[in-house]
Amino acid sequence: MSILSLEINKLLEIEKEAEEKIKKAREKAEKIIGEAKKKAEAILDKAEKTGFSEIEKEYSEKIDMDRAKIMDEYRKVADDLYSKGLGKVEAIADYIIKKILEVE
Amino acid sequence: MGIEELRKEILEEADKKVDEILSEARAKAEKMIKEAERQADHIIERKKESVLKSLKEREKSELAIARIEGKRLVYEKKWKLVDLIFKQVVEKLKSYRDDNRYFEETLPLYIFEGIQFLNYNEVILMVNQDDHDMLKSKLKSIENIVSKKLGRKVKLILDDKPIRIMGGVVLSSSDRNVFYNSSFDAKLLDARGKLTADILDMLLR
Repeated sequence: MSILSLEINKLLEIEKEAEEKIKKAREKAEKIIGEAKKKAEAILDKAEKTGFSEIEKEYSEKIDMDRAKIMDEYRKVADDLYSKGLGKVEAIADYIIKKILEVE
Repeated sequence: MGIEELRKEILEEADKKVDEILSEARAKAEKMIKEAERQADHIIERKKESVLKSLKEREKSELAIARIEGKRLVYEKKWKLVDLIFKQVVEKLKSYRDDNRYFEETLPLYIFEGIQFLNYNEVILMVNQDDHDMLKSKLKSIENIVSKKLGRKVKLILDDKPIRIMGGVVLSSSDRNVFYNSSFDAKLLDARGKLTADILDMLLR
């Protein structure tokens, strides 16, 4: 083989080596992007599945407490009204009797 | 240029290309992840807003219901008192029939009221079983009281058949076409309708 052929062969090997490097780089790049895509999907999936059970629980408890407080307040008003009213029943009944009988 | 130099040049070019390819891939990957994180934040925020909105609506609704139920409690107590009052009124009316004023004042007043409405000079009176005999014995004197009050002579006829009323009297024209209800039952019903507002006002004072 002549020196020229040897040198051409060497050059071809070097080109092959360079192409191999680039090919491996492309493969690595695909892997990098592939992993990033999976990671992105996992992030979105996790977001979709996010729940707020703690917030819901606390808020529900607050609603229950407020509801009970309102009922307690009204219950107190009703009981007060009733106990005060009992003392007026006789007098009001007399007032009605007077109206019905129109008797002084 | 020798082979070694060429080799160096080719491999340097290749390395440069490799760096480019990997850099680009890393940049693209980073961008993809950043975008996903941005979208994820948006999704979570949207979900949180939706949950909070739903909770606020539930709160508004439940507290409104609690207020309605609370008002109903107060309303029930008020009406319990009104019922108690009218129960007492019924008892007092029943025992009033033993009072002299019932036949001497109240019945003549009711009969006068009825004749004014009917505008007849002869009326039929209907009372309950318990009042019948007593009224029969006092009919003439009541007739005189009523005639005097009206300024004209009226004739009162006591129906032999008693009616089921608590007290008071029901009047009718002699042809029984027109009636006037002056019974305790009618007056009680009337009082319940007309006086309830006053009663509630007196209770709350």
